[in-house]
Amino acid sequence: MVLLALCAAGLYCGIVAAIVVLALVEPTWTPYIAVFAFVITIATVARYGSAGGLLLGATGAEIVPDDEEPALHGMLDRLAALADVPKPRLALVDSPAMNAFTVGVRRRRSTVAVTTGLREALTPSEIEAVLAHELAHIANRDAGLMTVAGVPRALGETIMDQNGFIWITWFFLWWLGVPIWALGSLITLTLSRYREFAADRGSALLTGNPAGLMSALVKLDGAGSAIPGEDLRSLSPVEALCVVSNGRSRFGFFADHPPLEKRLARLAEMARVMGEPVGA
Amino acid sequence: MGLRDVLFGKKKLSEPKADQLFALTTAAVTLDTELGLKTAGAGAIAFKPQSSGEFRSAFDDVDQLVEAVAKQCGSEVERKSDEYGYDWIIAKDPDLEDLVATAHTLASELTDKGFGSQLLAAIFRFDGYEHPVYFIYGFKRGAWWPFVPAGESTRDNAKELELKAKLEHELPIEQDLTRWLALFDAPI
Repeated sequence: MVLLALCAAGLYCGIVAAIVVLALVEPTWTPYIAVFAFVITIATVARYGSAGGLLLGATGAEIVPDDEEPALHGMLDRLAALADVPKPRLALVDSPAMNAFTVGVRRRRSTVAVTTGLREALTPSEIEAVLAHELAHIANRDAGLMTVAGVPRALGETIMDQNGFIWITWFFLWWLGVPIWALGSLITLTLSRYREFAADRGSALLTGNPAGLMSALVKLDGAGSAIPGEDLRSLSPVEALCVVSNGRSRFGFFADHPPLEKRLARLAEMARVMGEPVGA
Repeated sequence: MGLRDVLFGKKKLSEPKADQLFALTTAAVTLDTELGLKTAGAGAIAFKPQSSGEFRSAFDDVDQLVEAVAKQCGSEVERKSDEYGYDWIIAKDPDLEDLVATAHTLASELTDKGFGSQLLAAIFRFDGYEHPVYFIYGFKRGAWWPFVPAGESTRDNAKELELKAKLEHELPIEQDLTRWLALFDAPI
């Protein structure tokens, strides 16, 4: 993890250093570089800045007013108070797929969404565990962290995306985008897997019941492959904050979520040690 | 939230801040004389129990603790669970000071046993308006907020904001409205 942080920091420094060196070697290029860096930054920020609202819209998630769904609101309110985070908004996605996700980079503007499929299929204690997992993401500021950590990846994607540039510029820059994107992806995905473990642990602490999340994960995992056609795959940009992955690469370096067995093993370990005297 | 928490995620829940609990007794005079609100003789603390066996066995001690506190403070005390999986320790006493003292004793005993981070809120009921008025103390925040349920899942925000405005100088009121947790089916 420390290695990963160093790696990310190195990549940031590398990008900045490359710009500075280029400016020093060819002082006459400075204005062009500045304009270029500005455009890239704006394009990258725009990619992420609009993500939250657009995503909620794209999935058909609808915000649930305070006086509807009292059971879900009651659970979420209490867990938010226990986690010491502002109460997030609650949204429902009308979909048979079973999943839950969080959008919103800032904690104060976060929204926790669950699918109707999840609400129907899970027991109250399993739903509570899933909500607590999402709240732990908010408490850990994962959306913000993943956005910052995702900048190199988005930068690489922006550079590789030829639409934003004149063809000839793109021809010279494309090769520059590839390594930034590759290294950026590696960092984002590794970090994402780590944050999932942290959110699982947070859920167990909040509900006091690791078994609730364990049984929820088993159900969600079993259902994932059986859901036909339309599911939440359109959620790819926030996929990192879904409770279970949406079914792309699940193993190794290219998975954004850790494998189920590892998550269950860690939760089982928590179930064993929980309740021991504080400080043990 | 330090850099360590940002990088690795929080390892534990934050500890309770019970030190502002007694502020309610200071505000009681204003509540009574200016706002016409009198204690309904009931208060409670809510906490999230853990599922593990060790926690459960430690909690058998809590029953003894509840009895001891009841004797010490002279309040009638009982324990209940709600549908969300939270445990409530409910105290009944016509005197508000005794109620608050009981809640404080219970909270500090639970904290001493290592369950402080599990404490959710303390809640006290007042009567005098059309609907019951609750004052909720958030242990994580160390602050109070009013809660006036107007129906099964609706709350009277206007009345709550009025109470906030009138009590702000005497009671440490939670300024962040998104933290005003509602407890609709509080068993008091």
